[in-house]
Amino acid sequence: MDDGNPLIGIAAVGNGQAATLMSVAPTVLSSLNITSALTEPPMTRAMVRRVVVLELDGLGWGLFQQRAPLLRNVSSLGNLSSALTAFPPRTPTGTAMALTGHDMLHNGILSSNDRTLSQPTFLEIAEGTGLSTVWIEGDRSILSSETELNVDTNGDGSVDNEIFGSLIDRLDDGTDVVLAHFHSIDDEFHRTGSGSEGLALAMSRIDSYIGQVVEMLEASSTPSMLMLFSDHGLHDVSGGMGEHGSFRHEDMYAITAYRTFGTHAVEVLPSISIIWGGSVMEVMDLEELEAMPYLEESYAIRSSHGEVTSLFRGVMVHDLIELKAGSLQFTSLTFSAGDGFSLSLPWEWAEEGAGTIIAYRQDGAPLAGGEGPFRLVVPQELAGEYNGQYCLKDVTKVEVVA
Amino acid sequence: MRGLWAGLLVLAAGVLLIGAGLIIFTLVERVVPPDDDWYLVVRAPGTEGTIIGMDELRLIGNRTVEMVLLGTGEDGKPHLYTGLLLKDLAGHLNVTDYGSVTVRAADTYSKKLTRQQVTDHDVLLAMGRDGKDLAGRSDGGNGPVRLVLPQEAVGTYNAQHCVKWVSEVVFE
Ligand SMILES: [Zn+2]
Ligand SMILES: [Zn+2]
Repeated sequence: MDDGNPLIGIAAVGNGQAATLMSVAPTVLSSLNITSALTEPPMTRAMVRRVVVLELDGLGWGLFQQRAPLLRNVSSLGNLSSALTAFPPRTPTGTAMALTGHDMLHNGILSSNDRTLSQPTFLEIAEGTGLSTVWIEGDRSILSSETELNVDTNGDGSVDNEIFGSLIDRLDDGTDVVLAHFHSIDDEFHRTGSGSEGLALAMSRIDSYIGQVVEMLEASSTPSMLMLFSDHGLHDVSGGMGEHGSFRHEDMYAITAYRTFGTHAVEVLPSISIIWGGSVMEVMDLEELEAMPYLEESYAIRSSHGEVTSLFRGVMVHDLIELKAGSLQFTSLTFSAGDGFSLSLPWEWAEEGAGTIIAYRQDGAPLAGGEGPFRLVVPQELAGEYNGQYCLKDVTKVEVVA
Repeated sequence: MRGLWAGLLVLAAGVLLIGAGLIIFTLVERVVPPDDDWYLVVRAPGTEGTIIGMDELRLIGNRTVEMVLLGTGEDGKPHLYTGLLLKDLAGHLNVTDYGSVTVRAADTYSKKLTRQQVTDHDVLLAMGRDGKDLAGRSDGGNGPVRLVLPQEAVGTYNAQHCVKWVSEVVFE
């Protein structure tokens, strides 16, 4: 968690479900199974092979809610959320936050005059791992980054259709990560205000493009994610026009939405999320757990079915928590299983030497289906004690409660 | 270091051209000329790419146009910009077969124009303002070459389209 970012506090106060635009980059990267140093939690753990990101310039959360009927394909993506943008709410500041996953203090874009990012975009990070990427723009760059530009070739007064054409080409040629930035909602709002027919037309046109992208991704055999975000909203000003850049809810609340396609085809690595303060601090998969120091001991587990003794190998819960949260004192830990069942234990039960582990091997083999791949194993305090109710099977989450 | 690498790449490609005459001029790296020896790379369909140094650019680019730049960091007042019109650059190099022009900067920022925008308006690769050469990036300036194009109408923002530190012009 980035303590230097004032927006996190605002998000917590302003809207219970609001995230910030910073979650866009970690969501894109984690869905492609790319590890990054970004601390914002991803919106989903789905695994895909291709990500299509659409930036709808100027589609504020408020405008979206007002005009949702015009944006039926956006609404039906599901996973819609308001998301705070940077201040001042401008295209470069909001775009930089979404693309780097860092707040403005750390990404180098503090105003619309700044162009040079001090953090890599998710496109650059993905490209570094060997994936093909493209950033499709209108007739100029937004930030200093490689972009494919488009001009109004057919002379209809908008570049959106040319941008859409480039997007379709890139879906066809199998580019792994595609970002396309559509401008006309912002353009029309500036020119003619929130109630204008021009804006309504721009919104329906972009929505129909999104419908076509959804159809293509549905028909494709490549597991994909469609991610959508806006850089900021706008508000009406006198003269029937629109503007943004102020600290007001219309400008500051942007939108994020995503949907995955065909993800069943991808093997999702089992993992454990460590949660603190309502955010995922760390996601550890089996490989990462196996790389940690382990405890291997004989544990007796007694339940109503009797007592079974086996050799469990696992990571001490204490080590796992200390790794991310430091050696702080917590009051309790809540463990959740894949089926949603959860269990809270006092922190002392997990303290050093308590022998409470997240087990990943039993008698030398991976845990049996249904019991693993990860199981909480709490030792008996006294021989013969019932401890089976604490030994939660298929653990997927550990939440630290301060 | 990256700048030097790109510069060397350009020179190497240029030498190969002279030697073989057949090698296609392709640049993977963005062109980043050294601040004290700036040049422009011009690419056009069917040609291998041309490198034009500042001396030659100044020689062929002596048009002066009054222009207002509006946007962050600009004063919104008329100034006299001197340089080479994009349409004259096309004429100078005999480039006739193109539909659009992309102007790219050393920092990867870029702007694309339709052929009509280039031929119907004064779109300038400016090298001077009010009689003084534009300062380079290391001196805190926007030059030595900056794209300057007119406002669409009085009062409209155009500064964000005026690419600083121009190092490449691509006719497509
Ligand atoms: Zn914008
Ligand atoms: Zn705007």
